[in-house]
Amino acid sequence: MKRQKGRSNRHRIKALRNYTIAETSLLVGVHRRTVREWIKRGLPVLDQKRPLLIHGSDLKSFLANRKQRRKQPCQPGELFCVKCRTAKVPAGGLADYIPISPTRGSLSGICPTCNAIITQWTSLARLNELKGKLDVKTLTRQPRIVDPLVPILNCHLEATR
Amino acid sequence: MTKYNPNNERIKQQYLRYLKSARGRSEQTLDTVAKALYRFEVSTRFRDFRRFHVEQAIAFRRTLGEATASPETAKR
Repeated sequence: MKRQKGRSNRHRIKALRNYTIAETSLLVGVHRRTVREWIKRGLPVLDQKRPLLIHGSDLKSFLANRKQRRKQPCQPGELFCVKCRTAKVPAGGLADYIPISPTRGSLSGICPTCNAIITQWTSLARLNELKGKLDVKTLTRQPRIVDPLVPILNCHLEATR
Repeated sequence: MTKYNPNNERIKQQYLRYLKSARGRSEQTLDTVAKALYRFEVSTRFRDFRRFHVEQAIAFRRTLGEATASPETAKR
């Protein structure tokens, strides 16, 4: 499976084991130079002897902290803009709610900085909390181009019987 | 954060490498060995392995005997 950029596989690290830089890079799925960069940025090593060893518990907590630092939780009334990479209040405090089910739907607005559409999944219960913070207009879901009246039967399942 | 002694960690690293490469032990075995060594270190308060004394081993065995099962295990 291809690893997503910026995401390291920290669940494979064992807390009671020690890893060399090469072992860490193989385990976590990053380049050796990246591990050296982490050391420069504060990842603790056992001591200054060679080969440098990294304790599993240190590596785990370092990567967990790093992930936590990157998170930018949205406050009520804010939506995350993927382009600006920050939480933003939609332009003019306007947002549209499009329900996809009786309890859930998507909230979308326009980013005040880059004019991109910013969207967030939300529930009807959370939508009520936004009253007073955002001017939310409830829209109806756009109809599908082809709306099949007869549901598709699982033909493949029939064929195998 | 797990406590550790850097000198001991180097010795453990070499030993686990030996078990894996020379003795062909599985990853699960290495995990068990690492855990057992950690329990021993906890009982010696992470003293250097070079200052090993027989009394430490005897005390460790005593603590193993005294260790009580968790309430969930005791029910079985």
